[in-house]
Amino acid sequence: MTRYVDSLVVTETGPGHCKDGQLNQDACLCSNGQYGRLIVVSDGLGSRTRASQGSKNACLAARDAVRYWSMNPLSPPERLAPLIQALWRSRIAPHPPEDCATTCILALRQRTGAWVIGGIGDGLAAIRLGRRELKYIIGGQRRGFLNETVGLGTSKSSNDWQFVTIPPPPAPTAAIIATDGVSDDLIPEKTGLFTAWLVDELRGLPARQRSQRLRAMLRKWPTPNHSDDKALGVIWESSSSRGRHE
Amino acid sequence: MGWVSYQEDIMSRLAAARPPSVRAFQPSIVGQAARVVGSEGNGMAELKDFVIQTARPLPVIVLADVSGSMKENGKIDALNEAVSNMISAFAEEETARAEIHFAVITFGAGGAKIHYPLRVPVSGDWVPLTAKGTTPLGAALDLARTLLEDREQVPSRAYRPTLVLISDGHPTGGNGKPTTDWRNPLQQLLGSERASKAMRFAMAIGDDADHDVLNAFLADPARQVFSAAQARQIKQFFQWVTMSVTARSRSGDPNAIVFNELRDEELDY
Repeated sequence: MTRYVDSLVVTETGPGHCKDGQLNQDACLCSNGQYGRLIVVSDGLGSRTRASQGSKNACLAARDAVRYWSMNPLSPPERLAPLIQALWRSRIAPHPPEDCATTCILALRQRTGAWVIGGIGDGLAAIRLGRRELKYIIGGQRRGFLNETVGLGTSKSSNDWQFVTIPPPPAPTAAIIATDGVSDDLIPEKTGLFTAWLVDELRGLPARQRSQRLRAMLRKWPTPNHSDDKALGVIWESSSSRGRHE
Repeated sequence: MGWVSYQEDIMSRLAAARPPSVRAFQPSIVGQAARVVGSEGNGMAELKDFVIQTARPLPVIVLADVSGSMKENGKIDALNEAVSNMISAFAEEETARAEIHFAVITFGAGGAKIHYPLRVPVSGDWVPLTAKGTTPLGAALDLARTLLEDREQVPSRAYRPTLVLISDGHPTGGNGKPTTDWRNPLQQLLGSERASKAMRFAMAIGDDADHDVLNAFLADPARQVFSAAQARQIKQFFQWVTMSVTARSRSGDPNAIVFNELRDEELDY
């Protein structure tokens, strides 16, 4: 059966940074290439002087890494980690990596129908397989407390990276990624339903309205006193022609 | 702006900009799944159905020595007044990014007890402590660790907790004699996954306070035990902790704020 793929990713400056007149330290990217459909979110670590620069370049480094990585279909997803790291360091030079520290989370739906999902740092990366099962790659249950994440520029171990490859699922599938400004406020047991609801809300809208709709959600985030920057993205498959044919 | 723009991205967005077809005819990966959780009576879900409706907590837990020696020189009265003022200050904190949750664990007659359960503090909601009995510090440390490890009471979306220990003597056992049975509970606290991450502060009241115990609790040579020679300095210490916590609750990153150290000389008027 023919599958169609669509995606959306947006970011909004949090009320905290709006109030202080600071830049959004989250960034996001959506890309479509020979490798398939890619979305990336990143969250510059708040205490770092060039967090905003770090997060933007993490998105671009992830895209470039996926491009190189996908040239060899046999390359395991773990190889993405050193590629992203090297490209990110190259992009932020001459600034020290510590000053630009950031998380980096991606979801890739390849043209073969397979998925690659993962990254480094706190946030959310999950895939909804069928109608019920949600598989977390990043997120779910945090071990410690808020704002204690590792990331590009702070990680000393390749174990801080998590990547999962999923062969083409039998049923249409959706993947969700988010920075912790979103993921820390999601009700964990409802994240699968949230993914499904989000796709339902977005898929019938024209592209511009989709983006506006998702941005409005992030601006009107229902958690009291929320102030974090936010980035949220979703890729979904469907069996109708609403999406782009891969 | 956090959006990173480039050519491929534009292609992607253009591809998604086709005119929409009738939504009702779109097969969904979810079918009706998202429509059964709505709370508005029309079966339609909303964003708030998936998002936690409470602010992110910033827990503050006080471990208070209420042994018999705290009756002397007005220490227990000063502690009661200081904690009561702290509760009022936290309760009035409305502009905070984080919601302060407050608890008091006492250790004295009858062992360690949760005197003020962890919750959003309410002004005037303080039952004064009474001083009596021995100093079972180990039991209090066990109780604090259990509380901090409980994800129901201190969720993972909480900011790093603050743990304040205040004592005027040596840890004692049930027979009133000095004991070292606090060492194991302290090691467990310092070795636990979550409780070990709490910001720890300690105050020694009077000359009899065991600084070695309080320094072991801090477990950081760079941090100092605050000393109070007189009861009024207890209030000053609590005022300082209150200011530090409320500053954290308002800051951009409530975990990252640097505490200004309170020097001993600042404890005097």
